[in-house]
Amino acid sequence: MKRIALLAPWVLLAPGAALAHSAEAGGLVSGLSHPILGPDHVVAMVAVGLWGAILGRPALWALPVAFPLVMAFGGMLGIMGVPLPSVETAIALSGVVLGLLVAFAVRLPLVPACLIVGTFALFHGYAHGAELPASANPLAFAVGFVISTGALHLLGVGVGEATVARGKPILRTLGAAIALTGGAFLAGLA
Amino acid sequence: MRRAAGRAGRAGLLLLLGAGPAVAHGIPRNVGEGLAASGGPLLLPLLALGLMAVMARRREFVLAGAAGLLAGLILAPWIGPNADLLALAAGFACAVLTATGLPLAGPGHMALAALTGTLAGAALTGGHDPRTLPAGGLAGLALGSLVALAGPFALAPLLSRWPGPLRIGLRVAASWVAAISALALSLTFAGPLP
Repeated sequence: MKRIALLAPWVLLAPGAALAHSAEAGGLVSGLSHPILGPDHVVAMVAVGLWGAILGRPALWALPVAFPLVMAFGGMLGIMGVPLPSVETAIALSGVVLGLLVAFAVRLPLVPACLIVGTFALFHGYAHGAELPASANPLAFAVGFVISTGALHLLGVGVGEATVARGKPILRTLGAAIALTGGAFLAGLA
Repeated sequence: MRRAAGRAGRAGLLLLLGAGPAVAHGIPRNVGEGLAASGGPLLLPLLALGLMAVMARRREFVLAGAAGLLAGLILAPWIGPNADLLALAAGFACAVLTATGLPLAGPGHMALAALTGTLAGAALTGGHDPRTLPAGGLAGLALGSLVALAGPFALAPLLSRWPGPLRIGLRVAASWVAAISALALSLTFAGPLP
């Protein structure tokens, strides 16, 4: 477990193509892979779970519950073609902000925490939703990306719960790695 | 505030009723085709209702949903071709209520369970008169949808053994179903669902 935790920052920092917003959307498999193939999405989703682990209950489950609900609203805006400015910037910024919140183990009350996560969820959902109508099977695509996003949250919660009891250095390192990854996207380096 | 909410509610209802039929329905000719036809997007409201029932630990929700489902199959011609949109909306409400963790003991919840079942039942036939459907196809539709509705309730015994983790799992699952339902609902305005 410790080895995996030590490897995680390198995996997160490893350069990868930002395929999430360029791949041709299709069905369930495309939907499942859409959030996973975009490192900017992956780091933000994992950060939501990690931050939940730091905040403890009820945020531990409230953040992964709030995210898909708001993300769906963002997806609806994307499907309907409602303009939303700076979507890619906001997605990259989500990695930076959520990463820093994890890195500094910031403890906020539940409502502000949900508001921060919900704001970013809107932009992540919009990015997925904007591609939905063009996809071959939009409903299967939607099912895929919701499940995939939720699974990444649960991964973050799992890693967070496994490491939070042993102190927070691992979590903080992961948070810093996430913030750096988000920063790389924000600066256009990734 | 209440007036504005009322206006928005009326506008939403008109929007739902004014939209085109969302799910393209072929008439199932036998039990197998009926079972397959019950596995489409209309699983979402039934799953949402099942999750609400297990979260509330109320078998009555399943029974109300099942009774509504059978009534919906019969009432389909009167409910009309937009029953699928309304069923998705009712399922969304069930999923959101489950995800938020609010108490689910009110009479309104029971009414919502019955309504969701009725709308899902009506949507399954695509607005066709059930008398015009082959008996095997109708039986397949009813069987498939009843299994989807009652399936989540199989988790009820586990809920008393591991209440904490399972309740969290149910709420997370409900939030996923709510998200997918909302997207399915908005997709129906963009075109028919596959």
